[in-house]
Amino acid sequence: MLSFVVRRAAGMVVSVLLVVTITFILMQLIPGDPASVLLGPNATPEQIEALNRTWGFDKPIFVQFYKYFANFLRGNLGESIFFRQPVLRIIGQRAETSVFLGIMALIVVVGLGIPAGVIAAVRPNSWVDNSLLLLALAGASIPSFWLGLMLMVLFAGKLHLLPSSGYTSVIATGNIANLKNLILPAFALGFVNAALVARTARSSMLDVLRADYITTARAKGLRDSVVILKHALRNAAIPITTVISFTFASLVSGAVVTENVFALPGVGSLIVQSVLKRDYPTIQGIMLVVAVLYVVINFVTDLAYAFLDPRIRYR
Amino acid sequence: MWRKSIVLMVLVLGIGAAVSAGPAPGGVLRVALASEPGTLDMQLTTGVAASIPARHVFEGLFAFDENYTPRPMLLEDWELSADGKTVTFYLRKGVLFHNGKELVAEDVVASLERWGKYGLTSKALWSHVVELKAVDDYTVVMVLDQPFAPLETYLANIYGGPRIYPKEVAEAAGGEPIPPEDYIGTGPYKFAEWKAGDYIKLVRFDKYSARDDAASGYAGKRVAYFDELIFYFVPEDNARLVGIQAGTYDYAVNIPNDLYPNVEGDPNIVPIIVDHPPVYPVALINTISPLTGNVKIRQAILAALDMEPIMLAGYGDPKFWKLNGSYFAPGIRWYTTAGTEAYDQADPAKAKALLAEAGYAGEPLRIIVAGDMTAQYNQSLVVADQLKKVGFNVDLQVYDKATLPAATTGRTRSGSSRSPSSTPSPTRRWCCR
Repeated sequence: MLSFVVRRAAGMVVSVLLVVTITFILMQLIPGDPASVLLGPNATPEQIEALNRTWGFDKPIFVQFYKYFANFLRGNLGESIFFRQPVLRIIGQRAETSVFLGIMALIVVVGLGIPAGVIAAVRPNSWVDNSLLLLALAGASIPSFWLGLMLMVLFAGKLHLLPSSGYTSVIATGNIANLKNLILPAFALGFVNAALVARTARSSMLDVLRADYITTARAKGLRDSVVILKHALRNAAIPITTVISFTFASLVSGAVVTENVFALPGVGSLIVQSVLKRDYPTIQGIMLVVAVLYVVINFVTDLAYAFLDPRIRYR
Repeated sequence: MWRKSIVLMVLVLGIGAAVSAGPAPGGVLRVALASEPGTLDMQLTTGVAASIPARHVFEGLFAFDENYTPRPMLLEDWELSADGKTVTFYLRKGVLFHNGKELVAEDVVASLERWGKYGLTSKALWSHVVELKAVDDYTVVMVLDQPFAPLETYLANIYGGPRIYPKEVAEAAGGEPIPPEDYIGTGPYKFAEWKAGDYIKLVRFDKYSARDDAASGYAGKRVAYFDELIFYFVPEDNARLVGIQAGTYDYAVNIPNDLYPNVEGDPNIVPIIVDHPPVYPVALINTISPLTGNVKIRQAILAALDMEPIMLAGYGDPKFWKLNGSYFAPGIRWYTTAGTEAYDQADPAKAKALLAEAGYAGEPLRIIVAGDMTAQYNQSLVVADQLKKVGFNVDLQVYDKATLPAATTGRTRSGSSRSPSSTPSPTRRWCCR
């Protein structure tokens, strides 16, 4: 187990370094530069060149990369061109929204997805199963921004039950009621992802429910609820855990569209704005943080497998 | 072609109450902007999103009144020598910056010098400035090598224009955008907070020194009624609209025309169709490319275009636009109809004849447009279609807004489509690279 952890940790470092390098190269390939975005269409080429020179974007790409990498190894991700603040601080400010949104969406995903999948699997090909499958298909097909807009129009615009957009920090203000701003986006985001979890849960449960030991359990006279929840669900949990863990990573890092629709100051909207403004240090910083998030979640998921299924033994 | 834009306001008070009581100080105004500005340092940006909050924080020597005529703002008075080459500015006394310091001549000199060197719209004026000096604390003299007619317009313009900063801020910033903690101006609101990705907050500056003359446009007496102004960044059009309906925001800008029916008739919402000053879409034609360098080709393009379908594609219902070939609206002092006869000809036969005369042999006419500027993109499709019909071999290239400047500086392209700066001066109409 220990050697597994060490090997995985080394692999994580390599992945992160690769992401840093690839992101840097990709940034150089996109046409456009931060100075011309900031100065706008009326700036002369000389003015644009001068500002890029001040920021060091006129240097050869190797020099820029060396500088960036050296800073990165010291834990310094640089300063955002537009916000004039350290990149890590900006990401930190945005992380709260994304993490809370991710957790709330995950509650929706798990709360809707797993029960729907289990119920569908227990009564395969029944009307319950078919309607849940149809709902899951709809969930997977509806774009989350459209669902978000519809929820916004209904619950904020017409019924005035929830705020339409924006989010004020719970941590900074100590006001937990601000979380109500995240209910609509969390549902819009969660519903779409719940569909995937429901389908995975259903197929995984169906496999397990056909196993001999389930028949044995039923033959012993165990109650249905015990057979399904204790014997079957735990054994069906591995693929579901995989899907959920990666869903969570994408909920936190990739809620780009939902954050934009609801004007949430999260990491997703920061990615979009930074790319549009060609804020290179911020884009690289976010990519790095997201890469770390993914490898960490991947790692934790691997450990969770061993916990969920003691038969799994890593070499 | 003029287009109008929509802003929305929530009626906070009943109409009767508002009329009888008049405006009273207090409250927070929550504004939904369509995008987050890159900086509020208006010398270095022409962004409209930046100008909306920045107008309340920074002021210039002049400001535009409701007819877009420049009027003194930070100035008590000014005079021009008989030969038109020496300008003397007399500053108002007792005007305070948000840091508590009084505005003096050396702040004006430092700000104008920075603008002259790095400002985005200073070139035409600054190339004629021979000397700029503070005579005493309240007097600045500018010496020009020749008279410069649109002087006040240049100094009143906010887009890339000469806002006045404290000397130490202007000098420390140099060619880089001023960092938010140094946003210090003389306006009725002072900068409080910029929460990246979320909002910009301004609070009333209690020591603001207002003018005595009546308010008109951006000029005259400015009164800060609200305690705070908060500008939220809400990029999604529907979110701004629903935010107004839900009471999340009090005021929202850039509401798309096709959403107008959603608010028409709502008793709590005041939709405002903004048509002053009118703005209009423009296709700039590259006169140094071998193809469009030929005047006959350019005339053929003009002859081919039928403006009504173009405007319908961009802005929909005709209540949001009208056709007019003039650069300036009636009421603005530069208004004239001279030269508008070439506008909106919709004459394909003439266009074909001009093309034949030019010896056009099917060389590609490249049109570049930003796909994320919806109206312009939609219009470019119609323009491309109309040009194809008269025989042009059109190559429509779609970029995103951030890539467009890089694509247009190549100098080999044949044309571009974008909105011009809305500064009301003929010399500022089209800025040449």
